[in-house]
Amino acid sequence: MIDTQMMGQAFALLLDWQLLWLIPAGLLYGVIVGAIPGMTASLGIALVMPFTFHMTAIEALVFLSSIFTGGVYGGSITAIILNMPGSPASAATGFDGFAMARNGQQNEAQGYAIGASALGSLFAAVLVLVLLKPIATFALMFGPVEMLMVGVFALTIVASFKGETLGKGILAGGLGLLLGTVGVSWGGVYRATFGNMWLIDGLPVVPVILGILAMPGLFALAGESFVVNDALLRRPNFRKQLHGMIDSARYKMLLLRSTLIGVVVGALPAAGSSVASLVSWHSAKQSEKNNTIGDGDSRGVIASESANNASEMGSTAVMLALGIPGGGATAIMLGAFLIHGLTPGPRLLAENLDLGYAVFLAQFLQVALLPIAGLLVIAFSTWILKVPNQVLVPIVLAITCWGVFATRETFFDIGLLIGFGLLAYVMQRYGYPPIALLLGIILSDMLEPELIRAVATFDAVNLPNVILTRPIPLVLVLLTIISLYYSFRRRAQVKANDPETA
Amino acid sequence: MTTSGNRTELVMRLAVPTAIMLASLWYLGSLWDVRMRAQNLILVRPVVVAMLPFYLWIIVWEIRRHSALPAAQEAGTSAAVNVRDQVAFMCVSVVAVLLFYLFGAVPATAVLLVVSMWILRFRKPVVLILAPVLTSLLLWLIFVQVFGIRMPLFLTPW
Repeated sequence: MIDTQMMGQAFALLLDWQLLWLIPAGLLYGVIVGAIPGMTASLGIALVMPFTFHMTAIEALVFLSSIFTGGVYGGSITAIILNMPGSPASAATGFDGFAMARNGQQNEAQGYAIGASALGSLFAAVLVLVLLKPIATFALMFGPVEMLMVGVFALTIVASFKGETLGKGILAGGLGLLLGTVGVSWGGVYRATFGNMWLIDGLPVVPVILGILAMPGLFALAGESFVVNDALLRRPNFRKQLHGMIDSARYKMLLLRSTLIGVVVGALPAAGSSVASLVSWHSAKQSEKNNTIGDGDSRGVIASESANNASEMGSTAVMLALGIPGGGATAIMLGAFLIHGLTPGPRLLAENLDLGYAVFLAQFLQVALLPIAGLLVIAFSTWILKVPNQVLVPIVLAITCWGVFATRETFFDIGLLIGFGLLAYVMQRYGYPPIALLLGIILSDMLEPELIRAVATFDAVNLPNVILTRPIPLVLVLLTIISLYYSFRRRAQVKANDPETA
Repeated sequence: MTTSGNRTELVMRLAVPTAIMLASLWYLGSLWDVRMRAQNLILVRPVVVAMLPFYLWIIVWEIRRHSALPAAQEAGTSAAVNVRDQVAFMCVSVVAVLLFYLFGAVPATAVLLVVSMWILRFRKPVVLILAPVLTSLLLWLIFVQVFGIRMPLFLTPW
């Protein structure tokens, strides 16, 4: 499946001394940008795009992909320390990472995140190098019905979230699905925009995610002295970080499964790395033995981080092979290709396959350097825990406001951040899992257009028949049933052990 | 917890799902007569319909839970957490939005930090002055100078 001659040429392309500094610089910049709440990898790539104009095509592409790799990982740093994901892709990392930090295991959690990110990227790069063309062909097999079923399958994650009852999770998820439809619809109808131009494109992801995930935590921290109460456990500990990093390699099956989920979901247009990490986290919660995922289990961090980094590979593969960007970052990278006179798609693979291979080969260098860049930033960031919450919480709020403003340069987003923060706080206070609300908003963006396309193509009456007679939707239906079965069984077990928490 | 505290807790527990359900029904109603109704309701209608039975289930569950729990066990806020500080900080966050809008990013950041640190009972004068100044400067350097993002820096012409 690998064209060896082209692979040789790809190696030759990478023998460019400029790459020696471009890769570490891109990674470090990506990790820093990714770690700032509100600043995503796509925004980081967009900001440095003008600097790549004078570079050669390979230099520009490898530099931008290094930022992408660093940015996707960087989001986990603040997700672990403050439950404030630097980017949407790290939302699931905070579930277990922050719980570990609260238990004084922030050093181990950071180590697990670096290890899983590097190994996830590595496995995914190997997978994509070998299966570049089949992955692209597989992605083309996903029409509206298949994508609709991916969304329905992902919705079953709601059953995994902790809430007082399953009904509260469903109500929160339903509200999220409705909020996700706000904005101008396909028919040109303004849905609940209240005449506000900033809502025309729907609810912006960054302030909504930070509002729902980070703000309730920030409000709660305001009433406490420190994020980690034990002074001894607050110290940065390089040995523990290293231990976590190395120990993550012990979970080979989990890493492989999460990588596969990441590559497949990342390859699907419109699914994205946040869906990939959530699906992977959910899958780990259901399949890992004796797990406490959701309550501070390192396997939750590994599942989420390996999947979101792998999804980056999947979306890059599809962008290269088909010219279809899977998300914001790949859309900007597509622009970089065009600026350098290259058009991603089947012709690129036929005429410039060496360049495609080179982008993925560079990933091996990035994987080798990512732990260094990560540990450098972590060495600084873990000192944050030594700052008392009376100072830390206001500073984090200010940084978040700046980061949220930077995305669209509007004050309205700061209002959304605080508004969703208060909503999530109230929901959490009365037993509704705010993450279900977020999942609904994320999935709504995918579900509604696919549902409209599916009904337009097959008619509503025939749709169930189509779903049950096509192989991919049928597999997804079975996976949905299995997922629901395991979720209900798990809830029943928890209820049997402790009726109050079911 | 007193009986009136219990009652307030129950009212809040019933008010939250009711507010969610009412908002959802209002949203469905607002799209009922629009053009291309089928497309606009394709997801909204089934979701709202599916939410209804769960809403009723939650209402029944909350009432049964309330009557089953002894007064002392009614869910309240943990005593270990300082609720006054939480609520005060929430108010400051809301005010922060107005500050950013009225005064621009740099002054708003400085004011926000001083006020919130003070409200959270931080009293070291050196830190109270240095932290806001340094943070505002650092944010200005990173966002405006390094990333080139256009931030309304000082007084916004409103």
